[in-house]
Amino acid sequence: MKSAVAQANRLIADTVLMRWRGAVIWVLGGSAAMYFMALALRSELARFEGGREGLAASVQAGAEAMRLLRWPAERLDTLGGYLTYHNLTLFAYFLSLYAVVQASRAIRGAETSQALEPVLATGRTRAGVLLARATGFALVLLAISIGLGLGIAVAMAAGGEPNLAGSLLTSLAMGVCAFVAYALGAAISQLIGTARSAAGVGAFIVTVLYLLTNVWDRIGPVGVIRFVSPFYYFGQSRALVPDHGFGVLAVAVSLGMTVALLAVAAWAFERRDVGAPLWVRRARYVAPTTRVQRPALRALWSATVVRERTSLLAWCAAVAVWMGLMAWLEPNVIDVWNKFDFTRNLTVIDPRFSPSDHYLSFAAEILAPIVAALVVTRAAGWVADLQQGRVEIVLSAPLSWAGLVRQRLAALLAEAAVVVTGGITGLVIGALVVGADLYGLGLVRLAAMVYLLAAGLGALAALLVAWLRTAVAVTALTVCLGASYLFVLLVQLFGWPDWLTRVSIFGAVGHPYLQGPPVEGLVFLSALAVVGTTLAAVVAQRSAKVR
Amino acid sequence: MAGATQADIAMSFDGLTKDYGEGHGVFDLSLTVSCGEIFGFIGPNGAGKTTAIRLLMDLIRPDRGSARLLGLDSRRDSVELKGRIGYLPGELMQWPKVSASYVVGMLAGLRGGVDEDRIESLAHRLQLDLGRRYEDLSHGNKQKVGLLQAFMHRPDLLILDEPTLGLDPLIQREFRDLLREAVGDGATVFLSSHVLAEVEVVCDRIGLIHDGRLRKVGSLNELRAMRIHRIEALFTGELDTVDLARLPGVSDALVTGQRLTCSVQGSVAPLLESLAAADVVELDSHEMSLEEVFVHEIGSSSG
Repeated sequence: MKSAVAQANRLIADTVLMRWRGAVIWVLGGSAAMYFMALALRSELARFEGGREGLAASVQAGAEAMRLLRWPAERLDTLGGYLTYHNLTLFAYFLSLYAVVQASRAIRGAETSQALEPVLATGRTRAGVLLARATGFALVLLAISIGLGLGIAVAMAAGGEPNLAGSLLTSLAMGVCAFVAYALGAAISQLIGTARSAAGVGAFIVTVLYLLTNVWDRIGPVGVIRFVSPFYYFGQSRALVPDHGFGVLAVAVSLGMTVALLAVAAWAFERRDVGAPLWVRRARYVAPTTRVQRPALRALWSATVVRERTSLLAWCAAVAVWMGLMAWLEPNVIDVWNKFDFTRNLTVIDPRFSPSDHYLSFAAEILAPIVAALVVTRAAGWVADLQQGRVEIVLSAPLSWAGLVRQRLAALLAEAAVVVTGGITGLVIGALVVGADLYGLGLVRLAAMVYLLAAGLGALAALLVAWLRTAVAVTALTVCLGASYLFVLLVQLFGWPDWLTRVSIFGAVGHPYLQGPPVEGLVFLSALAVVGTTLAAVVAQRSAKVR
Repeated sequence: MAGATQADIAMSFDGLTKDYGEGHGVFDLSLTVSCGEIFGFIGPNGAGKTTAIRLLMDLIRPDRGSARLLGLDSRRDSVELKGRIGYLPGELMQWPKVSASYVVGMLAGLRGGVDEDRIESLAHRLQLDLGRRYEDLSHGNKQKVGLLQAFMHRPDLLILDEPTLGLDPLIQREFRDLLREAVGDGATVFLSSHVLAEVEVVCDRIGLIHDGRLRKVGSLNELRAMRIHRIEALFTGELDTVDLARLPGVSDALVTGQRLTCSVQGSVAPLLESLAAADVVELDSHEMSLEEVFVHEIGSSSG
């Protein structure tokens, strides 16, 4: 008995150790976002024409129009009400996405890497392993909740509405919401073939639940779905909104759902084969493959694009939908955006252009961070290839390290081209639907600059991976890019001198939708691409080992 | 190897060293392998076989020493060399969800000029279904994919790390046929194994590596001279164990009553003469395998 407890503790500790970096990023990133939002809103509440009530009335119309994205919107005349509506609802959604993906990996991912079998061979029950992993992740969520709760409290204090208890309780409710998503992911992953597919299906279900919960009273009988949505119960705990409190019953229901889902997951896990879902389709006859050489496999870059085609299509579709939605919302949100100082600061580049142009420019230039995120995911793949021995087999072919770096960057550029095309197509379709005018030349400039950004960031990522060779390279790149993007927003938000944007890699992109690209930005990104690629090749070639 | 000209030499290492510290790695490997030879690189787990092979493939870089393969420097000319080498790693790791045909197709694409019929023929001989998802294949079938990609471009040099691991006896026989055909076409083979019985069947020469150092190299015949016979005899006369111990090649002599047990390395003739004088009535002899000989050698050199 003692030994079983010790084993469980080890698995719990292992889960916490694996996720603590992620928890720190959630706390720091979330707290920073809340803090700057609170500062901006404090300024708006103080100066807005018509005062707090005027601001709330202005925002309410846009909030109704964008209800699908976040809801409920109450007491927008207060910082607590606004933060809960504008930030915390979305934050709960993203934290739940994170949780559902981690749950898919916790068991099924370990099966893929064959790390689970030795653990089970030690005599642990499957349900015990699942429970230990879930407990470990609950501790991670608790740490995130407390850390973020304190961050929100600081933001509330900075915004002039100090509320420590409300901040902590709201954050705790957010953690509970994400834990339901974790249990959902654990249950779903028992039914799906692979960890990756399970993560995709889980993320899809969480997204559908989130969207439907936002509009539950407008979708007739389907609205009953809210009762199985963790976001509905999270919405009952709005301790930062005046006249609302912490929904003890809602939290209890959420925890009950978590227990039920984990029980279902454990039940299914006990009954299925390790490495296979609960229900397996019987094998069908497939004619033996004999011809294996295809034109797309003749180069590593094209073979990479072929291999990653599903993920690439998912990226492309998601970016197209997101940018299309941004364009489609333009008529509904443009008034509100134009009334807020902080949104004006974020979007206004050149007073000669209309508010609509500025909004569409902001929507279009979201492509830059999206492509940066694509680079980060591919860099993570390069590290995994190195650590899991796949680079070794590729380099056993007549291909040098320098050649491998070039092929990887070529694949990345091909993928970036697909994502950029998808995003711009979505933007154009969204704009066409609502009759918004787009600048064709601006879109071409945008595509070119984002593509150059992909080349520069790709080269930087290749250099970091060649140099550091571990997940530290990916973390460094993520932190660097996240801080860089946030910095540009802050410069715009607070009207800091423009030259400060030169510190940021995103500053080099400029605002190509409305203006010609900055010459120094062009030179910087081109130099980064060329020098970074060269250095990455040299550093990789000189490395003493493949892994 | 005396008398071999540069043109005859397929592989030569000179003081090849990779020191990971704490006695791990390989140290001062010096060796030549002739063209058309099948060389077996033998050693227990962790002896340094894979490290040596990865040095040859320029996957890791030596701290000192150098290797020339097919007349080219293994580091400077590694890209050109790898075009002429068929390499089987210890484990052929792949991306999730890809099919075996993707793996072979991509590696064939990277090499260029691989004959599709050759791939089809190898898949048929190895009884391999390339349409299946790679991660769903058994260990043995993954090994077949590894062998297929190593042989598909008819390389001049085959470097194979534990090639028969996980293969069933029928496929092992097919693998031996493939080796013989490759050598018949002029290829050289360098293979590692920890199973001596396996390399005994196919190799012309064998090198024994232990603790990262090459302990012994020789042709199969030379190594066979090292072989040890285990002798058991019943006799009715007198036998002096002190005299027995003086006989050339005889060791571990033990007389219990009228029964003798001992080991003999090399000729058994002197022992037979002594036994004849002691009126031997029953004689049983069995030859220890190379494996037992090497274990004996390692034991004596370590101890």
